[in-house]
Amino acid sequence: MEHAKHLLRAAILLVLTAGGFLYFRTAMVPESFGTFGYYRADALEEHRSRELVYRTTELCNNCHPEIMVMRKEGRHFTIHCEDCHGPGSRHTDWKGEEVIGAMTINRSRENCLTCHRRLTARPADFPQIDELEHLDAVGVEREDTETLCVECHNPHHPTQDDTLCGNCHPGKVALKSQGGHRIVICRTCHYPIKRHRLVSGMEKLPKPVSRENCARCHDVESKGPDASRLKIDVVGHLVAGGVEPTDRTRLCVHCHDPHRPMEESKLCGTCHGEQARTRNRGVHRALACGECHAPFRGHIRFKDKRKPRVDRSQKTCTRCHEAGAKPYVRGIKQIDVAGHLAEAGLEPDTACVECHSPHDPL
Amino acid sequence: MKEKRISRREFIQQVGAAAGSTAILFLVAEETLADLAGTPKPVVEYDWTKHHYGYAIDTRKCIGCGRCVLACKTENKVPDGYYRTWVERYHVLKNGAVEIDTPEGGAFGFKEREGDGKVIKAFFVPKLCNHCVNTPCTQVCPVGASFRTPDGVVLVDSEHCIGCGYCIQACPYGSRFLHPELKIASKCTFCYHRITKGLFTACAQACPRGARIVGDFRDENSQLYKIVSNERVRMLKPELNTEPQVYYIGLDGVVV
Repeated sequence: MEHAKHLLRAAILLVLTAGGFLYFRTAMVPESFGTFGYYRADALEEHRSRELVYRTTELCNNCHPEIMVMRKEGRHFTIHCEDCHGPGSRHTDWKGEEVIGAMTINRSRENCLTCHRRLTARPADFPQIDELEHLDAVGVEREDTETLCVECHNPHHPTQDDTLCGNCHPGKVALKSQGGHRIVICRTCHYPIKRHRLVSGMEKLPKPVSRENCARCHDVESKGPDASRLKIDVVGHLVAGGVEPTDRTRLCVHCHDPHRPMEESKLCGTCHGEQARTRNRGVHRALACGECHAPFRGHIRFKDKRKPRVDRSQKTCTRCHEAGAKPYVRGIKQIDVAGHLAEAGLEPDTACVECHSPHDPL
Repeated sequence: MKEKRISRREFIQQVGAAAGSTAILFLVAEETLADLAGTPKPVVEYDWTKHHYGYAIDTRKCIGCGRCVLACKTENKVPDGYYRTWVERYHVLKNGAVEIDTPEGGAFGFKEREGDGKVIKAFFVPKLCNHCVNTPCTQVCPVGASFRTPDGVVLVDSEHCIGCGYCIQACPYGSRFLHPELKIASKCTFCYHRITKGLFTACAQACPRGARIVGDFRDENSQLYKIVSNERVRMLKPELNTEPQVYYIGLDGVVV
């Protein structure tokens, strides 16, 4: 074709422009663009593979199971460990195998008050306090900024009896821990505790002494996971104890100390006052009645007052007092029985109780 | 036929042109064809198409402690003064006025309100990016750095973002901010690096009251699914048709 040079130039220009654009586009647009949509699909994996800072509660449990057990029983069960202790990445590697540093333990009042300060906007059913009022209520000076919340409240189980109730009532908590009611938390009977020690002019806790309160767990018909294994038929028990069933003035707590229900001097002493008093005078006052008179199952529990064991033979005494025996309590007097009897000029099979009153041996 | 003799210059010109254009043609063709054929999908053990993440907040439970805000800041290294999630406090007064405050995003808790006027009701409302289905923020991004993943999470491609700030303006919930150092748009990612591994977001894990729940709408056993199926739920600003994926239980009418 004649005079085709201008067409050729135009064609070349077009090809160059188109080609250049396409090349430029493929070079500039990132590789994974458009796989899932109008974005770079590699970004998904980049976001996904970021480093984790916080761990999980399960990971804490691996090494600190005792804390987890404590937490589970209290109201702070829903709080995540790292809320107060900071991120786990400061403490271990992701698998939780290697310890790389310590976590923070924030004991300050402010840490607790951030959640528990009374605010109008907080839901009414959430436990919240006015700081100064609470200090008044528990007998801490307002100027005292040293006393911490955690001195009374175990942060992992803030209403745990031994620490919380025991702060002001150590005797009762100690007594409770000696008997079968150690598994019963204070709140079971002393309920509700809404304002006790939360505000000044604190309300006293209720002290339910009614039979119904005990029957809640101890009646043969009470069901549920909290019911005691030790069930009694109330009427039979009263009759066995020599109480008229219709007599509403005689309560369980007259014989059973509610904090240590099998506490002897009160319990056995109600009917066997003479023996109890004798015992309390002498060296055997530390000895539980059950040490010699066990088993006493069924004694007074059922109508047919089963008698507890009363073994007057030497065996009962030599169990602790024979030289070389494993004693009930340290420092008791151990003797050579045969020698002792020979010295006194008695037959070797004489019972100890012929000379020694079992309740007040000296 | 008359033999036409071309000069050396013409010869070099013609060969050069031919060789050059062929080279360019090949180069372009190879790359373009490869690109048009589609890149292979990245092979990972996580299937993006099997999940649809969402969130629920129970405003009746929130106590405004701010642990969620702190957890988010620590987990995602959020710069000071900026918040990917925050807690707002509302006081509704007797005269009809509504006071809203969010001191430092609620990160360190709140102090009692000081002011006149009788308070009728007061509550906390935690907020975060709603990861809307009909996002305004992904629509306006000029470079495709703001996008919605196949599993329902709106993310920002930090390498591709040019920091124009259009998405920050576009979000009606105020969830986005410009990162002061990286100069890119930044926002809540639903802790994508956590939820895709079966963990909870930092904020949901931190909440001591269980007021924040993250979950998978596709998992019928999840708490989230049960909430949206059974509770009275509502979203923020439904009239904007953004279809947010954060459901609120107990959201009051005065909440903006």
